[in-house]
Amino acid sequence: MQKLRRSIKSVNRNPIYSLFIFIPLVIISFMFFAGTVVDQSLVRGMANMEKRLGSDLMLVPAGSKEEATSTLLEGYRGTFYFSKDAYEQILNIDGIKEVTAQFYLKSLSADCCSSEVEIVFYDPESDFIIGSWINSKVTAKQDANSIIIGSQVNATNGYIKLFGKEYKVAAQMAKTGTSLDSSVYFTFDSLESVLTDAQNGGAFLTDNQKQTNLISSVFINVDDGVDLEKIIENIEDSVDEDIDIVYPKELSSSLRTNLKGIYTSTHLIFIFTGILIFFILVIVNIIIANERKREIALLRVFGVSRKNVISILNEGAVLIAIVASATGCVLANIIVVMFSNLLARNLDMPYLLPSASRIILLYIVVIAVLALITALSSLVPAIYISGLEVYKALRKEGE
Amino acid sequence: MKNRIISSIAYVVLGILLILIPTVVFPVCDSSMMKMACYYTGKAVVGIGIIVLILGVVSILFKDEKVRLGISIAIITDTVLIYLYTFKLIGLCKNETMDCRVATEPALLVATTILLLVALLNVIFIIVTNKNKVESKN
Repeated sequence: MQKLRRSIKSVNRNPIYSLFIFIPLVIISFMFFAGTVVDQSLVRGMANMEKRLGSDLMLVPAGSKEEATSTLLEGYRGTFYFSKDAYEQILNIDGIKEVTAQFYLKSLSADCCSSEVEIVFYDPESDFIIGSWINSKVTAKQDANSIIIGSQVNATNGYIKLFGKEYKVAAQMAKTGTSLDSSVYFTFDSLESVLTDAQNGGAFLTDNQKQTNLISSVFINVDDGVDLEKIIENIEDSVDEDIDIVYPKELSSSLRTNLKGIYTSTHLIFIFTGILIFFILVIVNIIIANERKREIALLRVFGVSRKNVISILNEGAVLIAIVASATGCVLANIIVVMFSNLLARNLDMPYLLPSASRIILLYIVVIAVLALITALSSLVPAIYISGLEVYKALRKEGE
Repeated sequence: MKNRIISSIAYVVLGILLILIPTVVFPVCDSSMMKMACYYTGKAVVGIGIIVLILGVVSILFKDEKVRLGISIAIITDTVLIYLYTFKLIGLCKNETMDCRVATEPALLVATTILLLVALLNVIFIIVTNKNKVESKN
């Protein structure tokens, strides 16, 4: 308690110099906290996206490769379709481990959500993509009258309304940090009835969207060790229609490489800014120590040990460091956590905040590191001043 | 006097912020097709923002601490009303990806919380200063 009072007194003694220590530390702690949270959110979002992309190949209609790539990366459903026969024609190809089809309806407005939702039709028997995301307990086997919803879709008493009809929510997906979170998933059994309801509800559907024997994409996983090029050749030979092939895992790998560049740049900026702040702190602490030269000399005359003198000079700086870094962290927390959805939207990348425990750990690390750096920056001038001979310390300038 | 000026300016600035957040800075969802809950919440918050702005101006003009105490208490109740409008009485859109949830909601939360803290601190400051004055007179 006495130490705390002494530290506060030390801070109040030189409020201007204290401010010169406080402000840079608020800035660096803000930058470090916010930058780390954004980095980790992008990493988590990327990891989720890689899981979501979890297939070796994706078959789409010819000419839809770009749109399909956007679908994978951004999650917004494209409007490309081809015959369901393509799915059936590749089922028996050697080397294919698992294969599943999906049908997309792009952004139709829904009663449940005051906004548009993406609708995906899938086959739960062969699915290996959507099932892995299911977060909540599955309340019922999904049938034609039930639906799986993304994490941002709100159900009322376990039901959502779509085109005037109520569907029971069979399960809710975990948060992915992508637009999957605002998607809903039906089985293919529901396709005909949903399309009819959509048309009766006044939604505009293209001719392709009105048909029930089309699909948008086929996801394929191949056996381990199999030659991918051979499989692609076999697929192209087996399927009557013209198709394009997308490589989801390669996509995520190239995105990860791009992001790595961003992480490296931000980390370098942190390091250089940290070094600059350290030098600013050293200079300010030298000035403060110089101002207190005579006071320190008198303390030494009265028998205060050198160790205690150094401690007295350090305390104020460390107190400022703790308060400043906590302030910077809180300000950064407000911006990056409360405005995380806005950030995610502006970055236009998968974005998922770290857990609360990680954020608390980050607080502790930032405050501890900055307190340590500040203590180190005040150590050198403190050691020098406390080591001065008394008469030199007491002598006025110019004498 | 320092406290009167600082707190009054804070009230005026935050009052202006409350007016600008749902209209200009982070506007609520587009209401041209359909007026959703956030439209009405935005209107309500603008109304309260105007009240806070006026109270801030009045607070500069009156030196009497009792008046300023009353103004701060009124502002505290206004902040409670903003929370209630935003989260309970009227609310915002259900979908988390809508503009009002992504930007307007956190901005209002931050501005309202800062206003609440400033008003609370002002109340505490006025009470403590008065107490010290009474004790020193005795």
